[in-house]
Amino acid sequence: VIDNILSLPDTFLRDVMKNVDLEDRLRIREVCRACERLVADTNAGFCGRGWIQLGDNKAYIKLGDLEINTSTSTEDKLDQILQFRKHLFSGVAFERFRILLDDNEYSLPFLFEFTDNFETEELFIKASSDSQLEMAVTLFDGFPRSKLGLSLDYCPDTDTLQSLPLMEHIEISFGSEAVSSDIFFNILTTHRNVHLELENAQLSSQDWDRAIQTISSDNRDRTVEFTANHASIVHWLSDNGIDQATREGSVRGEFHVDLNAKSDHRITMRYRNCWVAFYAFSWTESDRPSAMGISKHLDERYQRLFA
Amino acid sequence: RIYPLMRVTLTTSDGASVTVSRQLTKHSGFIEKAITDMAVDDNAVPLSAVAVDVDDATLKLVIEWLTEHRDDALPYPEKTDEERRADDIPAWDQAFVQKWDTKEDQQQTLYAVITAADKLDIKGLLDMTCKTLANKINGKTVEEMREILQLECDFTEEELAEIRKENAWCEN
Repeated sequence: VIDNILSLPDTFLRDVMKNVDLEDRLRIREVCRACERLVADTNAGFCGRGWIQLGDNKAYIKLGDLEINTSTSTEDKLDQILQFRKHLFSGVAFERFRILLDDNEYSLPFLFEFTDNFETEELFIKASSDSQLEMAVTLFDGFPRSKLGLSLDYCPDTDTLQSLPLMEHIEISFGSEAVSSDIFFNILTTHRNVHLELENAQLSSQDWDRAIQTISSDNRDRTVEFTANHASIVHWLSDNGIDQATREGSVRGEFHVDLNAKSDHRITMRYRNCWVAFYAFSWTESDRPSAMGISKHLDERYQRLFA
Repeated sequence: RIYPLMRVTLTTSDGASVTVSRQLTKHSGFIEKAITDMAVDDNAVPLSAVAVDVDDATLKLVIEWLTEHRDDALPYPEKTDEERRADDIPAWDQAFVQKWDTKEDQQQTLYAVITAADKLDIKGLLDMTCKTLANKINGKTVEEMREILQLECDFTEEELAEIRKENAWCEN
């Protein structure tokens, strides 16, 4: 007669522990020594989304509904967090795991150890310097089966940008940096979903034509978004025969203008197999950058824009 | 090839014999392998007895579950971690387990069925009992867990204080 849960088959107990919430694992640890070992030695299963943010004076970690929040990120404190993680599960799975890096010298070894035996459908990392980007690329190597995402709020050099692995999502804020069309097209043709802030890129109408043609002829289902110089966009639209007076339903070349709304500052168009949208767009206000999106995938947001 | 009328005799660990349809035993990886290994004529009625390391009372419960689930798809669909959820136990299965909750030895009955499902390699029954056990634990206090799992605390006060101190990181 089996009267003790711990005598049940090991594979069965592992499956049970995958169905137990992380918060419950905390309490199971307190039941008895054998339960403490069971919690430490088993995989926590799927926990939705996860997040680590490291900073000078903090370490914030979110694993599903569980939050670990400390006001320091010293080597000692990070070691304690690692010990705690080892006591809580042997591995865990996420839909999306996001890491916000800092320049702390302990960050990379900490992140390596903390994310050991993590599985995530998508790993998204935000980096703000060359050393952080180097860390990000090293961390990406540990997730060969995950889709990768990268957010850069600075402009790395051309070689670094061109050597990045294929990203499912890439966001780059180029700030006041000038961006060459070579770099622009390298990013556009390499990565899948792209978001670029390009206020100071000098892109011609021909460049924009080539960009939309590139996306249209790409067989990947993808969305690219730009925040670009207002004059450059208005010039491109004008070159394609689209201006403030263009009526909704008009056809200009291969562009079908669905909406040219002045009231909610929205223009929506179709180009071959792409949905093209300008949001918060003003034909006359040239002092702010224009936001444009080109999508081959009518997701929820684009459905709303084209409603 | 499964013949609906074909039957197989199972002999239990306490010496009882039960004859059941191959429609039920096809859900047991252990029994199906035993039949294959015997290389008997599929048309024999009933097939030679298969010895199972499960007592008669537990096997009756397993057969009751198999009878309800005789038409379930095979092979049993493997779920990824992401698809795994504990709140989708079918109503009949919930009622089936509830019946034991009225008995004093319900926990032992659940453990016996789990062990039998493991020995007989019945994936659907293992999955259901796994979720049942997880649901019993989820959301409970430490004391309630000790009571449900019938486990004694063997920590020293100092050890317990150390664990609580670590767990407290997640409480702010």
